[in-house]
Amino acid sequence: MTSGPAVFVVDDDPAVRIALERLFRGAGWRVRTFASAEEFLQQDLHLARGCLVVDVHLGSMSGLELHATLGDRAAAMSVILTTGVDDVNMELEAFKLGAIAFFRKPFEPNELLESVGQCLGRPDSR
Amino acid sequence: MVHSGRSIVEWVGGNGSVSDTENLDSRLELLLRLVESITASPDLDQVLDSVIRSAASLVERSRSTVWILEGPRLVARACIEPRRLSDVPNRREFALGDGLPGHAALERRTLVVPDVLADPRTVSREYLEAEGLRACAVIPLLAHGRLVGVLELLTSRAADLGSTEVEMLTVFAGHAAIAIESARLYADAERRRREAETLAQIARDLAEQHDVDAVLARIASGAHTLCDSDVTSLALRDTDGSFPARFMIGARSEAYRNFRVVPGLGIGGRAVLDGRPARAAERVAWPPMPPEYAAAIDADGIRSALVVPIVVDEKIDGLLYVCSRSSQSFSDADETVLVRLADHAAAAIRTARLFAAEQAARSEAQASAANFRKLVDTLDAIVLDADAETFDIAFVNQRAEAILGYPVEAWYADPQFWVHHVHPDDRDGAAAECARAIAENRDHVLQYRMVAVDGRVVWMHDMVRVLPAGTDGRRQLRSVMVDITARKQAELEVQQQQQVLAHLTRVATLGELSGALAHELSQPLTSILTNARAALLFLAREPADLEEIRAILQDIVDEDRRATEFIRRLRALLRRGETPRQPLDLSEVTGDVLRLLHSELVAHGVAVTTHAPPGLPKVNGDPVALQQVLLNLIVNACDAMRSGQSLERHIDITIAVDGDSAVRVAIADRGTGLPPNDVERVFEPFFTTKVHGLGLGLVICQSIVTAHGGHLSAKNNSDRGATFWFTVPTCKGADAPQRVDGRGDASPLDPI
Repeated sequence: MTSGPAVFVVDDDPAVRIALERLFRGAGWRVRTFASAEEFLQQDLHLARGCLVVDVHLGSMSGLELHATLGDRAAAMSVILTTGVDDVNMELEAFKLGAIAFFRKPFEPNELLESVGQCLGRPDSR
Repeated sequence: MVHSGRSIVEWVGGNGSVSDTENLDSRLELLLRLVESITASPDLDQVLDSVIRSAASLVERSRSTVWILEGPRLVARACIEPRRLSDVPNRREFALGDGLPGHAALERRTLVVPDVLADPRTVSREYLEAEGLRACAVIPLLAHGRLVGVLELLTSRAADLGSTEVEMLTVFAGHAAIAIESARLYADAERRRREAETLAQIARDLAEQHDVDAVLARIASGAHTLCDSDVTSLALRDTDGSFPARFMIGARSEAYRNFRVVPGLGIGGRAVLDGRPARAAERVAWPPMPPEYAAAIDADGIRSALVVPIVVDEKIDGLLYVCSRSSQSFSDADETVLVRLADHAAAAIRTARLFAAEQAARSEAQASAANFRKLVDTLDAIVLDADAETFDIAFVNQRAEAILGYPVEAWYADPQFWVHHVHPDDRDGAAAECARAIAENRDHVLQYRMVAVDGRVVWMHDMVRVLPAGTDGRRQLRSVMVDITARKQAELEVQQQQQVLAHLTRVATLGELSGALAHELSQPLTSILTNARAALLFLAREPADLEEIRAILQDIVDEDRRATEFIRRLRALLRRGETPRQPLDLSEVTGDVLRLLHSELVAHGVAVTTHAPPGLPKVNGDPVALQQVLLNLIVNACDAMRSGQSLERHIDITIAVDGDSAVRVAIADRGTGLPPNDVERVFEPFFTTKVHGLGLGLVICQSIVTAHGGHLSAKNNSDRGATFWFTVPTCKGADAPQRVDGRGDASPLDPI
């Protein structure tokens, strides 16, 4: 595998997870998916260069908590948050933590691709 | 044969030495005439009368008495007392060996006493002295060697009783004894014949007459005749224990007619105490009694009496009383016949009592039947008796006309009247339940609608008893139908209001959850849109990755289904009105609710564990209503864990069998718990611990669970949080689903 930038998807909904994987792969990105924040943290990928697309509402550790946990260690990692629930406070919190984008489900996939593209540049595999 | 006396021929022959042949001839002639006269009639009284007159004519200026032997006594049966000088009474009875007659009888020989006052055997000196009587001859009356009695002659001069007179009397006495004996035998036979006739008549009356008074009257008159009584009475025990006369024959005085025998007093009183017949001849021989008692007896001139108790079921219930105005004693034969008459009277009284008891029972039954009929007609219900098999109506009360408008004749005319007038929607259900209950021989209660004559729909609460088979072996149904239309309408209104309220709280709850619900929908939408975009990307490739595209399209279809299913559930919850009851698996219902609440639970970081053993019995329920209960309880549980600093956000749902006819769902949280003193109050309307809560959620939950026949409760857990649980009865057997609103099948209830 090339060590180029990758998109890391963390979402507890398998259908959404698979769809996002297809979207980013279809767009030419390397993609890795995780069902929970804990699973992602276990992979010790936080130093990797890439874009983290994480759902706010996860089982025990929320997307925001994951973002906060990564903190400075994820300097090379851009964070995009998604949510199924309208919550302005949550959005503000996300931006405070340094999220580059916040998407409310259901979102327009092209806009998500655009945001990821802004972080990672053009996909290598294109 | 004459033993003691001599025949006339013998006497004449034996006295051939008598000088005065002329005198002898005339005496012989007299004697022959006398003998002829005493045998002229078979009637004892006439014979006795004749004997006494003849004897008196044999001895000039004599007083003559015939004493007849009755048992151990000599009783004066005929007496001639010319020219009474005083009113000193003579004796009427002697024991054998008592007085001159008693001695003559005992010794069976003629006694001639020239000076009775000097004779130590004389008893009635006062009488003899007062009447100036000095000489006495007593000749035994012997017939065929048997002592019949004695003939007594008293004169003032001893010369009047010379040897010739005594000899003539002796000869005469021999003939008189035979005449008396013959007349007695004849009288006896005659008496037996009359007794037999009377008793037969009474026995016939007993069998045929139900009128006890008629039978008793005949018994009294029989006693009167057979005992040759002067005054006869039949007395019956009164409530105060005395015996007033019920039937009286021959009484002359009012005092005696109103006479009551009191136990222990007088002859009747003695018979009551001893339970045996009592008898007295001479008035002086009567037992002691109070003056008014004696006055009544003397007012009627009664001198001798015989009383026989009437014993019914070992208790003396009456007296049969014969009295005579002469001092002539009643005989053993009188007693025998009186005892038999008393037995007949007892039988008549016993029969009458049985008959009266039966009559009373019958009239009581008639009275209670009339009362029942009256009650049944005033009852505001239709009361119906019908054959359990054919439904043929044996009775329907008048009230049925007022309630449904059909004339009662219409009910009688059509054996299927009832089923034909049950509302068509309820007919099959009601008839089936009724038939089932009858087959199982159990009382039952039905609720169904009937159609009145004017088309009104009338709700009936029908309590049916299956009465045990009577003598004809057929079981009867007794049905009491009460019009409960008004109650049903009120119930329906309450139900409708509750449904509106339930709907409103459902909408409110879902409104509170709108964010979470939106999230739940946004997931599949996100997935669908993302997949579609990805598919476009794969389609743009050269060559297009068709395999990938096919997988994507399949997922799009699945996710769309997922969204559709969610919307369906949501729509079901938001729908107004009721849903038909149906067999439900409560673990499935719980699963549905948890899916709806998935986002809400995730949003609050609440984990849910569900424990449900496989193969739980289904319950009979309204799925939407039960979802609402679960929704409320789970959301409450989440809320309870939101406010506190609960580290452990966990809900434990346990579904299990409760008893043998219900399923229980328990929702345990780890939240703040219920206010310790208000555990029960949480089910009161407008009780809330939430800042924005309306306080109706649990009230609605409780009314839903109660309407399902279950129960909703709450308690604090021992360590932390609270547990709410509710039960819902399982579907029993293959019973048809019931409807809470009662608008469908008849709903069988437990027998009253």
